[in-house]
Amino acid sequence: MEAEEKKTAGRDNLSTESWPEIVRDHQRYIYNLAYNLCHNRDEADDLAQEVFLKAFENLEGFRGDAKLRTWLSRITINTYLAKRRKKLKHESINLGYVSVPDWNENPERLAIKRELQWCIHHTLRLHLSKRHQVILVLRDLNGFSYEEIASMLNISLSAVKSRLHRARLAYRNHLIRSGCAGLVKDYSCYCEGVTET
Amino acid sequence: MKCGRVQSLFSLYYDQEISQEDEKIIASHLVQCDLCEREWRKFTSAVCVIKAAKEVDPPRDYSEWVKEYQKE
Repeated sequence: MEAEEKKTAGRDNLSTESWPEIVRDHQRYIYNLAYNLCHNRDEADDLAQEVFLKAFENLEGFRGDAKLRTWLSRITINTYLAKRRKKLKHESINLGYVSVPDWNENPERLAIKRELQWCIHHTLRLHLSKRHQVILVLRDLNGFSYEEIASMLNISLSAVKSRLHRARLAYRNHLIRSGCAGLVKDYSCYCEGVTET
Repeated sequence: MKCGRVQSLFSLYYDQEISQEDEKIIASHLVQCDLCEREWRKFTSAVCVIKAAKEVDPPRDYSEWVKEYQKE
């Protein structure tokens, strides 16, 4: 990921000719960011396409003082927030679309993993405020630094710190209230080493 | 440091965004305080759940779409 960033960082590398290559370098990352915001593959596809289009049409707007990936991420977030509609109705569990890569595992284990993935996205999508959702996605799913998040959201570093803390508490509290905590109680055996204690 | 203060720093402690001095104080507090230690476990479990989200494959190659778009 860092190598990709270096390859495309800086204003000098940007041109209409180089744009397809830049898109290729960043598309997986941007699509995943879009998916983590939308929690829906079709919406994420539309969002990613719109982001690459907007960025292409505003190449001159990239000043080179931020990483290209940060700039693209900022466009993704702004576009997402502008597009979003308030969908507050509760959805039933549909695990069919949930992506789980380890197909060789036994069905029971696979089902648990699917539920876990569903739980993550369901909670982010429907049980957190948009500002909490966005900051969790940026930090915990996409690994941006506090400084990058501050720049992207145009808020102070101290606002990032307090908002992130509140968002994580809100997420934790929802897991406990909803019973999802039961799903993840013995979580270390479901996710194979993700738990850090 | 009191429990409330310790718990308010969990997020920064998790991300190692606090001073070394505070880090030592919190680490020491968590060893001695069962309540905060339980809260810390809940906190880290929740963050780990979020981080367990899997990467997904993009449904198509957007660079090819971009090339087509540029031709238009």
